[in-house]
Amino acid sequence: MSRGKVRFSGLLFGALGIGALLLLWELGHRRYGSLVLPGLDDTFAALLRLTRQGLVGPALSTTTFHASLGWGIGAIIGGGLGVLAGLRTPVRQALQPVSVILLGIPAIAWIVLALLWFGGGWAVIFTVAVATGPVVFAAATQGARSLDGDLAQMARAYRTPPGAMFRDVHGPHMVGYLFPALATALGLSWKIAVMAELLSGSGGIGDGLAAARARVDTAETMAWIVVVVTVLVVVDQALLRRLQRRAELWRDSEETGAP
Amino acid sequence: MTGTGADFVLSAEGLGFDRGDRPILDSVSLCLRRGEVLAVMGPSGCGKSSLLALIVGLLQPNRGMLQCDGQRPTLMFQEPRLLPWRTALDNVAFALKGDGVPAETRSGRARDMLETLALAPEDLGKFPRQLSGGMRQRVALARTLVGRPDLLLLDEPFAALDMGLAKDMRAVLREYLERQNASAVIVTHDPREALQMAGRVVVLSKAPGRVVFEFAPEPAGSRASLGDGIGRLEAALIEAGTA
Repeated sequence: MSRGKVRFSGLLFGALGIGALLLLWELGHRRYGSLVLPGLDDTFAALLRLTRQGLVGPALSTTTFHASLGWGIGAIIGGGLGVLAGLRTPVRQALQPVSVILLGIPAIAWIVLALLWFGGGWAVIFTVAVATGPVVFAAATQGARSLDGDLAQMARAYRTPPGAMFRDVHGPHMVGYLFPALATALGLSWKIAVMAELLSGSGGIGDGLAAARARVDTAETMAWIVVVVTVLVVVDQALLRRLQRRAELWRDSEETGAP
Repeated sequence: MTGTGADFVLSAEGLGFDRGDRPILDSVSLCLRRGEVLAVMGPSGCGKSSLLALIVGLLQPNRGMLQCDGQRPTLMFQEPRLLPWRTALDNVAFALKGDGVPAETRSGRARDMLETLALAPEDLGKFPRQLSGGMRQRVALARTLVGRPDLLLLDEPFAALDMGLAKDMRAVLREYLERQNASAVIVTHDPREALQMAGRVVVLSKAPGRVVFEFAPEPAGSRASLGDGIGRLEAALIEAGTA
């Protein structure tokens, strides 16, 4: 099948899947009523109202700040320690059990602890960092452990300077491991940030959800959910997938027409 | 034969190398004059590849003396070892980064070298997995030659190529060596290739490798002398394998 046909088929079946979901939503609304599941029209009316009141923009930027900063801290610490663990066996032996323990602690438990320790926005940022860091750590460890010794030896034989060694030899290898983990952690960071905001009352979309829940306004609750999902889909489609295609062009046979 | 002085680009005396407790090379003595090609043969595992890695500085000897006066020694490995995420052109240009060649001239030199090795222009932008085995080997040879090395270390460079392509690549290599007055050490299992490429052939014993046979074929020898040389080398290799 040609690339054009694959793309068209992807769009067609993707649209069919979303259409089926919206249909189920509307059927659920008609079966159980607006309090349980508001209709599509009520939800989009609520979204329009929130936007006109100027609530969506600030909430979106607050959640983006919390999620991005937490994700960034988790990526730097998790990635840095992961590389170290991949290169040094004693570090790996010391940190791997810690990572497993951290991964086993539910995000909700971290939120409760973070609220006691920090409170406010830093509780959200800490929770995101501590929940996403181990995901990046595991990928970085695997990436560093599987660095290609033959390629490194070839590069040394050509007296490659350290900068080029990183850019041309080790960097692209690590991207193959880190990119999927960073993308997963980015999605996770948004979900955890909204949950932590809801419990901490530190602004953002989670705070909007908490207010809607307090008023038992299901349409507004669904409107906030639509905002979160839209952001995640846009980030995934417009940024992550494009970056991934670009970073992994060399191994994608369909993109390159490899034999 | 060993030697020192201005005319020697490489000189090894009593060279020994161990991998852990296992001796790989033992008391290897050899030398190489500027512009000379030396073929190294021997049974598998006798330390031929280790010898090249010692010369280029990837390994350090445990015993003996090794003096390399090559300004730019370059090693071509048995496998192409291309960067899978870089195109053919970028793989060749990569070799120039270590020599500090400015970025704007790297691509041009890499393109010229790939064209010399008959890689089609439409293949320059392909990634290694899109190239055939022969094309990958040509890219690896281009990467070896693009830095204009004065000492080439070639580890079975044409073993994976079909006969026609191997012949063409040998011709390119010979032309390069003559034009640059460069020296080369070629590891090979093929006595015919050793005699055609090299002015001198040494045979190593099985591990720990020692020089057990040295042979200088007649320059531009006749078919009969080539046959005689192949016979002598094959006999030496059989003896080295059982020594």
